[in-house]
Amino acid sequence: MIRLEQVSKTFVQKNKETEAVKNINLTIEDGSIFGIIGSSGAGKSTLVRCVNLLERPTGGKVFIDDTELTTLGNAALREERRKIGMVFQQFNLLSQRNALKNVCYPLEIAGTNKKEAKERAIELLKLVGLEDRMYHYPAQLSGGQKQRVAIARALATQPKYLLCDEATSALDPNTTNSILELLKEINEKLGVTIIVITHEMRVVEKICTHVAVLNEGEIVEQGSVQEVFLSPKTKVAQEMIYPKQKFDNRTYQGKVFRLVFGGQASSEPVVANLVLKCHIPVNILGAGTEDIGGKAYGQMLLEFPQDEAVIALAKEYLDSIGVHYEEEDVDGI
Amino acid sequence: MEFNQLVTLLYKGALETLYMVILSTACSYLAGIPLGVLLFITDKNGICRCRIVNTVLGVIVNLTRSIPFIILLIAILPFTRLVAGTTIGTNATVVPLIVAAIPFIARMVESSLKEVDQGVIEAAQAMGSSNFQIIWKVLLPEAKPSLFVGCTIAFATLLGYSAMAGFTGGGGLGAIAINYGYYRYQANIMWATVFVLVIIVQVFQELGMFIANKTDKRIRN
Repeated sequence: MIRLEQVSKTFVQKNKETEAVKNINLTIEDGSIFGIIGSSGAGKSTLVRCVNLLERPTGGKVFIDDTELTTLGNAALREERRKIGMVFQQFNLLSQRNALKNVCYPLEIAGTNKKEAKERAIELLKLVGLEDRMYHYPAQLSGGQKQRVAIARALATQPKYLLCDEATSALDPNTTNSILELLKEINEKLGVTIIVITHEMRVVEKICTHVAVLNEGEIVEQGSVQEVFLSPKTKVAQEMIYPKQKFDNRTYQGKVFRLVFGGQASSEPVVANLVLKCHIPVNILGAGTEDIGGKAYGQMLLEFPQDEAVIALAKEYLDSIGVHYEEEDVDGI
Repeated sequence: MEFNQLVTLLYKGALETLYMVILSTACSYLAGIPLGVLLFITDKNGICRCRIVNTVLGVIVNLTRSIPFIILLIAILPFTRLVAGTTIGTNATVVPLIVAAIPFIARMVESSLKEVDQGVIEAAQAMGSSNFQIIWKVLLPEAKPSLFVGCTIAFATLLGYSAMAGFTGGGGLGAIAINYGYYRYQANIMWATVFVLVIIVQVFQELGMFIANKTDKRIRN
């Protein structure tokens, strides 16, 4: 379990203080995949660096299991850091070492003997699917392959925790998906607790069990992904989860509804049924849904005619299939 | 002077020059690398921040670097005599060459280390590396190609300095050029030594770049 108690980090630059993170309280249970989402500058990277003390918090306490990291000396802290793997947006591989030697590095510095280290590294490269690229140098690997090496490297010392700082942000969508699947597999097979820092909704949607929304250095909302995503309570979380869409200034004739799909069967043709069964001429203003394992996730903006009876009909239908909806304030979109 | 004599003269001079320059480059690196590393790690973004050490070292390095070599050469003659037992000849020239090269090399090592991606250092820290492990296993190996490039520059610079030492009886090709070309107006001999110097610089420049490129794994090949 990772526990942050009242963690703050203030940077002082040219006599100007910037509070990057403020009074963070966070508990990350073993076995979970915990997402920390926020826009750029929200303090996500600083927060995750406070977990392994790459940034020393200016206030508060950090606990890993029952050890309080913030009180440890240098040698003891290095020892604890070996229990926390970390992967980065820019991979940060040693460019002058091949994939195998990169994965060996953490074992080397931990004093594992060479033969054992090599065997373990080969095993890990197999796990991430790079056994045929072991002797390639980072410059000869693609972004996704580099991140796989970085993941293998982070797992070398058999850490209990894995911190991912925007691990997929430099990758294309397909590669992102494959890396996310790999992370999920690591979580399930090896029981590694993963903390994912991201600004992308779909990363959280795809793999996380829990999520915290970070804004201006503060956690504004946290809970299970289902809870937070289906009914975000704060405005910041709502904007984060349902990004604002640009509409032109024409005034809408009808009423705009936001439909949220939180895992209903994707086989249900919602829009078609609204038209055919309920005879409502709906207008799709915007939609972003994804089919994940036969379940629909995402949201849709629909315009209904300004007619109470018709809207009641639509609501009845949506209730019957369990789709969450809310009326939108058009000016606010 | 007969052609054979000239060749013998130049050959002997070239060997002396190479001896002085290679020895002084090697010795300066022995001190320059630790000093450069120290400058880098004690810097304000370094892994072992220490403002006092950084400022003091920085001032010493800058002071030594601002003194023109020909002045330094003469100014430290007593020191040279203390170390080498004499102030003339190739061995005596090596002493001021090393003194002049150490701060210069330290700065070049520092700038090579600055090219190492900060993120890689951060990753090494996150994996629980000690500062010594970061220096030995991350910084120096990652900066290796750039260090080789720096080494070829240092070599060419010291070659130039070694020629100046000819004025104080330093030996090598510089002494030949000065003794024959400057004092005896034998321009052809002077040009011949210059030609040999050019060849030496070319060969070492190419060799240095070859090693730098060959060892750089960032280049796909």
